Amino acid sequence: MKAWRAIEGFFVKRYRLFLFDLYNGRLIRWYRQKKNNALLNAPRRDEKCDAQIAKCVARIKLLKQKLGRAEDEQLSEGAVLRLDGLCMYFGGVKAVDGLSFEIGQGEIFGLIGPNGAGKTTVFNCITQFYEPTRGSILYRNGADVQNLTDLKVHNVIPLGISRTFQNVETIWELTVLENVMIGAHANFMTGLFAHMFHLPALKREERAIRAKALKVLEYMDISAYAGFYAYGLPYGVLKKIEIARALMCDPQFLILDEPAAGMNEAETKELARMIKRIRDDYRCTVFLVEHDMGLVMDVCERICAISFGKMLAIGTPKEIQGNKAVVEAYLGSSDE
Amino acid sequence: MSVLLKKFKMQPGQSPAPAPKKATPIGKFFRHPYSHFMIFGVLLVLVQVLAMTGVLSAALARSVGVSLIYSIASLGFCLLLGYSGLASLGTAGFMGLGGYMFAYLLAHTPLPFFICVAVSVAALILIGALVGFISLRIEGIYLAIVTLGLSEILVSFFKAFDSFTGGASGVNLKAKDLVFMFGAFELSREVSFFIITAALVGLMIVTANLINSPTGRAMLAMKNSTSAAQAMGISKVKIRLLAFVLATCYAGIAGILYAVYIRSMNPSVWSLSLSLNILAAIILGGARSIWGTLVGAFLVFGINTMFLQDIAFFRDNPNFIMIFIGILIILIVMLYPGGLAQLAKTAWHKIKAWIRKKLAAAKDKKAGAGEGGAE
Repeated sequence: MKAWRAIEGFFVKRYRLFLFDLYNGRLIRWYRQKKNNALLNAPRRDEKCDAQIAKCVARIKLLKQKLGRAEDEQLSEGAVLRLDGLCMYFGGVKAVDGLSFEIGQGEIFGLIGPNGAGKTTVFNCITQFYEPTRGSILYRNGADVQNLTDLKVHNVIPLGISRTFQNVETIWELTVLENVMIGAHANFMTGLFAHMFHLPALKREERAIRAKALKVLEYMDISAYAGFYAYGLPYGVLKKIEIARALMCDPQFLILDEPAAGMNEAETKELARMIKRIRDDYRCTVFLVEHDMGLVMDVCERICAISFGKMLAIGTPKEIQGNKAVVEAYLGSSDE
Repeated sequence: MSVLLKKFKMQPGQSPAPAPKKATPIGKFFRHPYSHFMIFGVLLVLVQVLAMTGVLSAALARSVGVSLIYSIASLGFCLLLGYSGLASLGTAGFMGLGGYMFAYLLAHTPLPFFICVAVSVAALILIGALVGFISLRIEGIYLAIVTLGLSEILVSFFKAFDSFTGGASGVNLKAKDLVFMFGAFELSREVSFFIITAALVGLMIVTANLINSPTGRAMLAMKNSTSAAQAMGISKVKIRLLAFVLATCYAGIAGILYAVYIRSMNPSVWSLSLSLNILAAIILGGARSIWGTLVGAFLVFGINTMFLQDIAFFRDNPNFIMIFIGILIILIVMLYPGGLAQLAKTAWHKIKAWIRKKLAAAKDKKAGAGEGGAE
């Protein structure tokens, strides 16, 4: 009897997990539809989306309770993202070990640390490239709060979280314009059939997204390169293409992985201005990892310093500069 | 004078707006993205019509037809290798599976022609999706080896299951089965050629559409950088399965058309060498070009039977053509990694630049002469 209960419980849990995934997927689909509507100026269809989103959110909440996961998924007022005891272990290596902090809405937040401190791992956990060993990542998307660990990699971007990469990951075989259009891939609602036969619905979407991509290119000041293939373009331009691609989905939360790597001083200064401008124009939160302390101290409003996956200090740039533990982690202790 | 004024009014870096061209119906047709595929189709129909009237030999039409069939399989492989970056050596096996399935349905069930085609293609979509799951785990040369194994398993299966495939001696389709539109047409070689042409042109259009759509871009993104593509909201599972399903589908359609056109199949046709030949066709023509793929397929599968058989040297040394193709592949891979398509593109750009230079020089000369006259 006990074994039977266990088996039944196993299947019930499986079924609920399946439903959970299903409703999460639907929720993402409606977010996408809503974004696409905004692009195509179709507010009438937005009402339907809102109703569907509310329905999915309610179902997900119910399922969470049934799955015994009614953890207090609350974010404090004004926060957009919270890491809660985030752990990421690779075998015996503790890349991230119990990291917790909160990022406020509209902040430029920096993550610093010596090489191998686990900064990029934190990014990869947020964007779900890695499945965290433990801990939760709460993200505020409009009215509801979502645990990002429930999502798949390709479902993160419809929530408005987009990222760039440490070593530029542009697509060599596409032109700059097409590279940027990839960033809006999550906005396309037409299916394979429309793509195969170039139905009018696809043409309409394509036109809207092309126009938007051209606007973003102009914003990033690289519209002169629109028709060029990405292969062989200068490094600075490639970096800008990556940021442009991340901007295509109207990000609420922009993740920049070492944006100043390989740039000279003048370019870094321009980048700092650009990051501030993007934050103001897109009203998004910027979360960046950087080794260039000049840039970090210049643009960031708050900084978190980590070493070997553990937090050393968090605070304003001034506080971090004066922190003993941070200085020790970078330069080594002076007792010897 | 007015010209000078206009020149001064223009801002630096601004080019004069081109005069709107009058859209003649012919110009409109040529600017339409499908026009060159249509023209190609008409030319192919013309080949068959000329062969029927006796201007061209029937053997030539036949070898064109066979090349077209292999072109269809190559087109699917072009989507798989060129656009999704997945190497597969299972094309021949899937072609055979499509052909046998179709032949069995046609001979042993009362289903009409189109239903048989639809059922075979639907089954191949399922199989393609199953094989696609392999590609989620392994990539590159390892995927090629796994699909090669799969293809060999399929060939052994064709040899072993007599009732389904006729064993080692193969299947022969009878003329009474090969009817079309409830017996209104007999699928003679000529009618089949037209069907092949229609299928090829249709698939070329679909492929071109797909390449120039978000799906095509997503495939290329997944090929170039998996992580960037996933971060931008492209599902790896979806794109990889789609690529495999499409390639399997194209190969299956090619197999069905082979069954209709040649009417006899035995397992030795679907060997590894066919898969490798299709790979060679793609490499030769350019893995990312529809026309390049077609040219490659004609070079590998058609050129021997089409033209070279008339030359005594090639007739006496039938293996020399393999050496010729081999050398061509080595040269192309070394000099033009984008295949013949890249070669043609480079040549076209050079010719255009040369013409522009000549025209500019002529204009300068004229302008110089004009100014001299005024002074």
